[in-house]
Amino acid sequence: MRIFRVGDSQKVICEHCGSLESATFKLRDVPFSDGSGIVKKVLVGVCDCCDEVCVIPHQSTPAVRRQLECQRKAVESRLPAHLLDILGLATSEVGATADFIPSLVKYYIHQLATDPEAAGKLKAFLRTELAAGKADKRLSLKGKIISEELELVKSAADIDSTTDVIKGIILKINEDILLLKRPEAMAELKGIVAAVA
Amino acid sequence: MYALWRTIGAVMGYRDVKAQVLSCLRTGDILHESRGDIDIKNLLATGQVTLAEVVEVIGRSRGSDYRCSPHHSVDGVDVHIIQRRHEGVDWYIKWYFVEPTTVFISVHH
Repeated sequence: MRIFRVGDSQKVICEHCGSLESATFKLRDVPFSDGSGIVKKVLVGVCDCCDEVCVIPHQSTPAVRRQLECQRKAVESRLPAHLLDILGLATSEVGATADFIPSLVKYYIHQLATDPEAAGKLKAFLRTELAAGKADKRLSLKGKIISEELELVKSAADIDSTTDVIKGIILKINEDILLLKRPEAMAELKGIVAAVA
Repeated sequence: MYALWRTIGAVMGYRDVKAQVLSCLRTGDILHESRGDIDIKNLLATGQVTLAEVVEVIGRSRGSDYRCSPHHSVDGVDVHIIQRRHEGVDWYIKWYFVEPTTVFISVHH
C-alpha cells in the first residue's frame, strides 16, 4: 500500500479547476456527498490552486467506512417514559437487566422484518392509550443491519415514522411478554439472555 | 480495414490498461477522485468493496467490457471504463492514470 503523509503532494485532476494540478495531503473534515455526515480529520489531497478536496488516498478508506457505519448504525427515538418502563419490565420478565433493552428491541425488529404479516399489525398498537405521552426519554439502537431491518418493518407496517414504529414494537413486546406471556417468545428470549449473560 | 485496425488497437490498448490498473490495485497505489466531498456511491472509496473484489472484477473483464474516452476537461488524459456483470452484479468502474498512480473516479454497482 502506498502511504501518503501530511505534506506529501501528488499531481491529480482537480474537477473544480478542470485541470491537472498539484494536490497536497492535509487533514480535513470532509462531508459525504449525500449530506449524511462528515468524516473528521481525514487525510485528503487538497488542490494547491483552489484549496478544494480533489482526491482521497486509499489509506483513508477505513476511516470513511467507520464513519459511514457509525451513521448507519444508530437509530434514535424519543419516547414516553412509560414505554421505557415496559421494556425494563419485559427484560426483567425474561431474566435480564436493563442492559438487555436494546437487544430485546433489536430481536423484535429482526423478527418483524422477516414477518410482514406480524409487522402489519403494529399500526393497531399506535391507536391505544399507551402509545400516547410526552416523549421525554431516549432509546438508542445500534447494530450493523438495524437501519435496513427497521426500514423493512416500517414498509410492512405502513408506518412512516421511526419513532412510531418503535412505539408499536414496544407495545407488541408489552403484549407478548407482559400481558400474554407468549411461551415461544419467552423461551427464545430466555435462551438469548442465557447465551449473552 | 479501418474498423479492423481500430478493433485490434482497442484490444491491445485494453490489455496494457488492464495490466497497469491491476498492478496499481495490487500494490495499493491508488487514489479516489473527490469533488470536495466523499461520493457515497463510490463503493471502493467508502470501503464497501475491497481491493481484492475490484481486482477480481477487472481481472475477469474482457475487451468488450472496456471503453476509453478522453477526459472531459484535461487534454491528453484518457478515462478508462469497465462495465460488466460479475457474479450477478453489474459493475461500473471508471479511472484515469497519473503515472504511476491510478485515480478511481467511480466504482459503482
